[in-house]
Amino acid sequence: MSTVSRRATVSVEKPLVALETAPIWWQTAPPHETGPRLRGAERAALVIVGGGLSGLATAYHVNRLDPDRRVVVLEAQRVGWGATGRSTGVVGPGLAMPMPRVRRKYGDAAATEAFAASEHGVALLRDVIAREAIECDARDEPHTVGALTEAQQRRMAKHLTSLGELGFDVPWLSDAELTELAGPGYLAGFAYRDVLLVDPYRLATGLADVLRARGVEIYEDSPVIDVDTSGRRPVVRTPSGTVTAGRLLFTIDGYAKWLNPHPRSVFAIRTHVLATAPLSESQRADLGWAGRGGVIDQRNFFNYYRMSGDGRLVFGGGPAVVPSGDPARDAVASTKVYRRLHRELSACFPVLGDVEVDAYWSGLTASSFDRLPVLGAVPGQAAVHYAGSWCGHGLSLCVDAGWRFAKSLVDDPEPGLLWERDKAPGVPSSVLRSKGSRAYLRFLDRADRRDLRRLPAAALETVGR
Amino acid sequence: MSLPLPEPESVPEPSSRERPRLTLVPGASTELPEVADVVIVGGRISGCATGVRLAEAGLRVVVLEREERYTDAISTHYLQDLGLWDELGLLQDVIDLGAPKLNATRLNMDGIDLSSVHPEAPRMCVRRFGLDELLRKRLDRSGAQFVTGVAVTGLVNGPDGRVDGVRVQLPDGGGTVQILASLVVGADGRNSTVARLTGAKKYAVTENDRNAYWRYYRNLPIPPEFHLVRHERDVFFAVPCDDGITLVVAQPPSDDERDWRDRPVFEEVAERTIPLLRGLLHRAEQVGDMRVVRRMQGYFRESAGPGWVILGDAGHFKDVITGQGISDALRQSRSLAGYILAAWGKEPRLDRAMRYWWRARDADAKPMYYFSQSFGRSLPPNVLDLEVFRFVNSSNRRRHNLSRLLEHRYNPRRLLGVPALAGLVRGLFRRDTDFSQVMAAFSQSANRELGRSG
Repeated sequence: MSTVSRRATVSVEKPLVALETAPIWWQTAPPHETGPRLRGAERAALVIVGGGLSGLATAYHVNRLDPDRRVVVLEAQRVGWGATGRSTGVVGPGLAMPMPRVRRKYGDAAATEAFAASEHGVALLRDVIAREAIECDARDEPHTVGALTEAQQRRMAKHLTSLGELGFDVPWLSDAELTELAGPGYLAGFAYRDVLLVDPYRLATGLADVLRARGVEIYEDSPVIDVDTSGRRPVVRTPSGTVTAGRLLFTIDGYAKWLNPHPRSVFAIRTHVLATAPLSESQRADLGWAGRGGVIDQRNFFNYYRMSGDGRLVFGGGPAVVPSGDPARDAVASTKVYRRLHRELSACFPVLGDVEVDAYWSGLTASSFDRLPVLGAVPGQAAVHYAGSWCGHGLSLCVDAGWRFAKSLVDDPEPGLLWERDKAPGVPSSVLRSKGSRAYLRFLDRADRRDLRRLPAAALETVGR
Repeated sequence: MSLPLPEPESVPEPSSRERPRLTLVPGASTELPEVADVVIVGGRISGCATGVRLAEAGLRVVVLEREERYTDAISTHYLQDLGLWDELGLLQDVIDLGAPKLNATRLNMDGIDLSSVHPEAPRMCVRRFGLDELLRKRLDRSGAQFVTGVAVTGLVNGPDGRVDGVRVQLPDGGGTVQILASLVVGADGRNSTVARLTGAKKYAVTENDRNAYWRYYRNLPIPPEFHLVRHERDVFFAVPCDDGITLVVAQPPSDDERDWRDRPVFEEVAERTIPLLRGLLHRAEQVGDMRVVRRMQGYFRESAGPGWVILGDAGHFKDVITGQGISDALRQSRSLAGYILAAWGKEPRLDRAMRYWWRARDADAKPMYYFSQSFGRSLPPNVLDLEVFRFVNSSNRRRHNLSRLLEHRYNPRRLLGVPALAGLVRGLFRRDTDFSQVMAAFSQSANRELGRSG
């Protein structure tokens, strides 16, 4: 037996899949006690499903405009568990759909309002954080967008011209400014100045604490298992309780699964982030980047990065992935993205080639096929509303949307925005949707690579092919 | 299942045998009956579940428990088949204990991902404290009599040597009384008194290679999924339980030198093995003390004889890595109750039925027994194991089957069919392995799964 076992064993190979860690924000935030679960049969004027920034900000604005209204927030896991606590925490203006296309499609007036709404979201969030003294490492720092290729620069020029024509004056950065704000390797760039950097998990938990103190009930660990919209008032069921809602709002974006009221037009995509160990003084000095603000490049699948409060580089990007529902298959796809992220990180910052990575995580965000949010009443279901499909721009847009929702609730509605709609352009077949969205994401990635192949060799080194 | 027994009569007749009158020891609690149909020794999961089923079928059942109060039991308390709780009418009560439903199992064996999702068959991890209490309340509702604080000290043997009841020690020096019964059921765990008194011998004993260290943490943000990672010599699993508590278990090989009682050591290795715990575990609040189980011997025990039968951990115990204990106990209590009720009335027939049940229990448990043992081994995996893992990894259906295996709905021996063959072929064609190595691994794995040594 002993000879057999000695001969028949081999050494364990390198892991085939990278196992994810928790987001770096969870690892560094002070432990936050999980709230109670929903028990028994409750009633509330407004029930919000989803305890991320979108749901909490909406609850906050409703409570401020009408403190007597009973608001219940249901969170399936914990506050900040979903896209909020997994984001990089850069709250800035902007839309996913290119500005020139927004103007073509919806006209200048609507485009102006839309962009202004994204700026308004930043301002609103800044107010909330300041007013309620939420400790979330909030900083006013710029968000720099850099072009790696001439094609990207041309796209950027169109974008800036569009913004300028609409009255939003965003100037090009000088070379010195660009290097200071984004690091080396970019051809051109601009910066949004009115931007907030936060620790998104502490923002969510801090906001939840504020809401609880103000009387909003937030139930955690309470996944919705059934929604009955047959009556006049929707009834929401969790494993341990029910709540009858005057109005029901879904703010669950990419984590909606079967609750997604727009399965034909809104689909979930997975994006990936990693965070290094805290950088040493010398590493920071050698970065070639001052470490202020957030930086994003102009590819379809851009890299984006920022420094955390404790001096880690938080680096996201790589191709987005459509979740398949098979955990092993998704893990393989994510592993590829993490490897690529790692490569791009060391190409972008060669000094960090062998830096320890403390966290690599992914999150789901939802996107519509036209890359604009979807907000409004759910057709065919009385008193049910939906706010989602943020397409990666949720941190500011959802705060603005929550404010607008609250205003409409107290009969003081703001003028509607172009994404207040009961559906987005959809794809009728589920096969087409999943295959189509995957093929489209692959196409976008190919386009990025093709674009980069035209770069001179020296520039290539900085983007990590 | 092919059972050479008649169908149960519609209503089993309560025992009408004449029993000699008992003389109660002065001062004894009059709560103890003198005669019952079935005496069940041990009021934990298998004892209570059997008691419920028998009492509801009309038998007079007494369940004897040594402990006066609820105590928590060391257990993986992983409920792999919630249907078993539904059968007892306890599913909603179990859910109300507040554990999240676990819809996914994340298994990573030596870097090979064997994860699957199973929303159609969610699982739960509920600490024993709550479960045992639920079962005892359920037992009360069933009409069985539950007596705590009494220890069984001996068996009452009839003239033919048949076990006709138990002798129990009353609490606080209250003396000894007898309870006569047609059947004595031992559901009293690994150190079973009934097994000791009847002289039931162990067989198919295997030494498990691993110890187990349990720790509970409060407020650990991990998703409601079962996570198990085997990496080199380390095996860890983490699973959210009731009341916002997460169970983290280390199962190091028994020859491991590291000091697992030391919290930083435990947490450092846990965070490295299960990355999801990284940065979280060492900051989380530990609840209660660490529990240790050293080198749990796996065994079967002779489980039936004239007038007695034993079930649950008393009759069979396996490596805890597959977390089968509770499901096994509930499944065994279901089948045992079926056999008892079908044969109720005549003692020889009952005794025969108990022997048949024992045989059926062994047939049911053996594949999983050897599978658990090989799954938990501390030896490095051989080439064939890895190839089988890779083969399972390559299809969602096969990974799903692996999760059904843990639900006891897929026989582990089926892994010896197509997966083993595919693994063998893949192993033979892999460049870094040679023929003799693969064949040696094949015989090693096959012997292990079939329970042969050598």
